[in-house]
Amino acid sequence: MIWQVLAAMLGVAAFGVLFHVPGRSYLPCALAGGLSWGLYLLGQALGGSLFLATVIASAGLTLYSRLMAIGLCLPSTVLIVTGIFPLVPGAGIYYTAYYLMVGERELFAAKGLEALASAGAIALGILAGSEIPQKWLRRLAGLGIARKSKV
Amino acid sequence: MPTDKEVLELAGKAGEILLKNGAEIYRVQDTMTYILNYCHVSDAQVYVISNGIFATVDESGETPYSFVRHVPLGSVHLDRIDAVNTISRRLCQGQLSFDQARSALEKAENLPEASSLGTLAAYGLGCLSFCYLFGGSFFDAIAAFFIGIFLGLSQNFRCFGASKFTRYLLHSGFVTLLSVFALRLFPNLHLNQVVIGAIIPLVPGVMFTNGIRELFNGDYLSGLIHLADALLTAVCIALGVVGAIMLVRQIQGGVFL
Repeated sequence: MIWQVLAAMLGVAAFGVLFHVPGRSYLPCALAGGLSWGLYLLGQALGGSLFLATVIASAGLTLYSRLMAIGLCLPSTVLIVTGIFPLVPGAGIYYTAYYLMVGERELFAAKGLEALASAGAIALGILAGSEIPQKWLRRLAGLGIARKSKV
Repeated sequence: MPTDKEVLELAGKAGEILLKNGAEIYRVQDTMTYILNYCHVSDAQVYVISNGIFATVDESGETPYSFVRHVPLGSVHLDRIDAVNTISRRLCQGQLSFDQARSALEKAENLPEASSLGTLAAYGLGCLSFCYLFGGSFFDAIAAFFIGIFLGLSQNFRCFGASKFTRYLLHSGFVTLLSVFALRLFPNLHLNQVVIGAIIPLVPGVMFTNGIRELFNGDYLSGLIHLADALLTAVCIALGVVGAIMLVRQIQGGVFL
């Protein structure tokens, strides 16, 4: 699982280059990728379905991105769009096309639905993460910054 | 003291850079409104959709001005968004003068692309990591790394001016053919995992995520435009994969891989 999370971090940092993220945000981006994939794996390990694990992962990612955005004065979108990549159903798209081609209708339908479901789960997770009021997050981020400046 | 027209042009420029480089609609709208309000422009109205900006100032007064721009969906450039964000924040906190903000925006618009070597390495490493994430073995990941580099190289070809969707189709077909070829050279690779790793840079993750967030913000039109774009792109990627494998099957006389 550690290797998986590290791979997610490396992959998301690489995508950061493709999307030209600001130089100071490579590490937070990589952490965002590691967090979303780690939460996803953890959710599945604890017996959650693919749908539930994706919801938890994308909600956690959204919260993390908004907190870091306040702390680093970054647009939150930088962290969200890069960190979400491990969850986006790229494999789902591939398997749907693949089973359509080999004529496995049932698997085609199953994989297509799975891809749509994980898209819906991402949507739900982002919604959940966005609903926490900005004021609370500011206060939380303010605590973190205050503690850092004391040390 | 800048005139209304100059303020509108500055705010419009900021909005245009944001929108072109993949910012969310509410960010574009908020940034423009902040700048206009900060400079005390009378009666400012801003309306933004995913591919256009409309703004007017002083509509019912003596000197009405309007700002209309068509902003086609472009490539994602997050550091430009960050730069404009910083400029508008510092302007509204009084740390930047109006003229400084204007020249800073010029600079933000032209922030450089990543170096081509860095981009290629990023394609390779991105494909490598995602191939591993989606169940590929160590050797699959290595294969995905090299195919990713070829994908990065192929992004330089404009495919004879073909539309964006045709390009996606051709690129995903291209990486699938490369994967099949790699499989012929090294039969113990896994085709599915290699192809999945290699097509990940094409997957419309940013469009999809922005589309969802815009829907939730109540920007239904822009959200649907982005989601439609993401869906069409996904279909093109799938068609490219299918097309390439069908082609190989035809050549091999119906033998499945």
